[in-house]
Amino acid sequence: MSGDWTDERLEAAFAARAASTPSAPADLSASTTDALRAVSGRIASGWPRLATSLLGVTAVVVVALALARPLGSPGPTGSLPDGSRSAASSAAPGGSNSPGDATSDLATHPISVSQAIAVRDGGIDDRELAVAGYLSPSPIVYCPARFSTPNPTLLECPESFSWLMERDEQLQTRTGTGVSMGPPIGPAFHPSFALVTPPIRPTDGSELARNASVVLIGHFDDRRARLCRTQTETAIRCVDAFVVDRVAVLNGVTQPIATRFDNTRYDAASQSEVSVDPRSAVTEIDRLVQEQAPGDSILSRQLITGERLASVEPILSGTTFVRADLIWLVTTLHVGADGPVSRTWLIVDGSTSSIEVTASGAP
Amino acid sequence: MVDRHQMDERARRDPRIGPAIDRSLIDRARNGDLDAFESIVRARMDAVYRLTAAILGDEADARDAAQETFVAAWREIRRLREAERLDAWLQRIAVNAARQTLRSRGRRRVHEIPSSLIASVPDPVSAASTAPSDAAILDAALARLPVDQRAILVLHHLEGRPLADLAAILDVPIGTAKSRLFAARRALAAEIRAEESR
Repeated sequence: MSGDWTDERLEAAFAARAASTPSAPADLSASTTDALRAVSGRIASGWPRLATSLLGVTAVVVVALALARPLGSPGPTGSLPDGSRSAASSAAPGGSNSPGDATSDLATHPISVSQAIAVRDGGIDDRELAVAGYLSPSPIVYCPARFSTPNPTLLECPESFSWLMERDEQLQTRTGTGVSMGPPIGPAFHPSFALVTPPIRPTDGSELARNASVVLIGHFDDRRARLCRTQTETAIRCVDAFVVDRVAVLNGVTQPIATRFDNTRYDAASQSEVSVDPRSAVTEIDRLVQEQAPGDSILSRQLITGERLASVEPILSGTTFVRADLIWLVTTLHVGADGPVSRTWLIVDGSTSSIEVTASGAP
Repeated sequence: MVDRHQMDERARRDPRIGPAIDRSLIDRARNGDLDAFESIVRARMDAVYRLTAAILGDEADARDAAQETFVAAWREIRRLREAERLDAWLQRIAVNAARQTLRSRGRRRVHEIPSSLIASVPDPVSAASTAPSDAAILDAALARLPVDQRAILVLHHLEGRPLADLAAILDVPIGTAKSRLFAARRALAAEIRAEESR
């Protein structure tokens, strides 16, 4: 070493540093095993059922693989809202996936918010999760102007006020001048409703909003997070956003596949927003997707103008797709070797083919 | 290349890693026995935490990285072909987890002050008249190095790993490990000089 920092002095400094290094906190092994059980519990409880329902004869092989995977004990502490299990298993109304398919199987066995948090904090994991909890409505508030590039994983005001909570906590309290809102005390995380319509309306504070009991299907570590640029140090990490692909259950009622419509455009002549009518029917869109992904089940659909496409698919900004009048985006549930994941399919309205949108774009 | 069995023999004797882990326990974990893997977690948590804490210098980050190490290890343990290499394999995962944690550190919302630092905050009066200790200078200098250089210095100087072990843990040839260690020491010397001149 240079100067008077001889090797001996350096070694002594390292030794002093080593002596002052603390032991692992007493609870770290326990919290790590909780995280492991949460991860393993998902694999054990969800994956074999999904495989058997989707893959028919080949499922024998897949289930054998799944059973060979680590099977853990039941998940860590964490409670599910009343009725979330039975509600999700009830017969699906029209337009939903048929009972027994991958989506229904996933929603029938939701995990708790704290189990989902353990998955989120357990490393990069974008598997599709069904999470049961209580959803707090976001308030109608005045937010600072946003200069960030839109991204489904970027949760700023007002999305940062919305929580999926383990317990039914009332976040709003009435004050002398109106309503104030604080964060939950128990386990909670922020869901992103950039791809699906939020199941409850924002509250304007005229009355205390009620939380909704929900089962949300979605994922952390969304592929779009790597294109996300937060503007402030206090922003929510984009990889931590739970991107909702489907509202499976709302207040005990199983929800059908929903289509989010964002097909209005400003018309300079009438100086108003006008609706752009699609040429493709929903059934045709579903058929095109299922041709490409026969084993997948549809989670949700969006109809969006080309000019707004980049707000939900930032990777496609600058492509010719943004010049299309209307684009359909369909999210499907795919069960692969690593468990259930979501996939996105793009169809230019009126065309006859679908292409998959991935982290590297669309071919 | 590296004599890995020699390395593992040293690792088994090294009290800093922890007690030897029974081969059958590792085999059971590789076959999906979570209880067996949890025994490994308990036996190696101290060693993994010490390594991540030494690299990251922050208790909260070290905690995250240690937990991430075992979650990643559980996902990958079926790919561990030689049970004898468990410790080197865990250390490699821990270095990667520390690297990942450091990358996301800047985006963390809440910065936690580790309790060990609170306990060791010097009295301002006495601090004014006392030069920083070599360990404090080393801490400050290490903190400014890239995580890969920190990792190789910590593994070599703190964990006492010889070059052959470094090569095995980092999965590089010995020559590469040697040149990386040399570069890391040179960078550390520069940072120490800068720290002393403050």
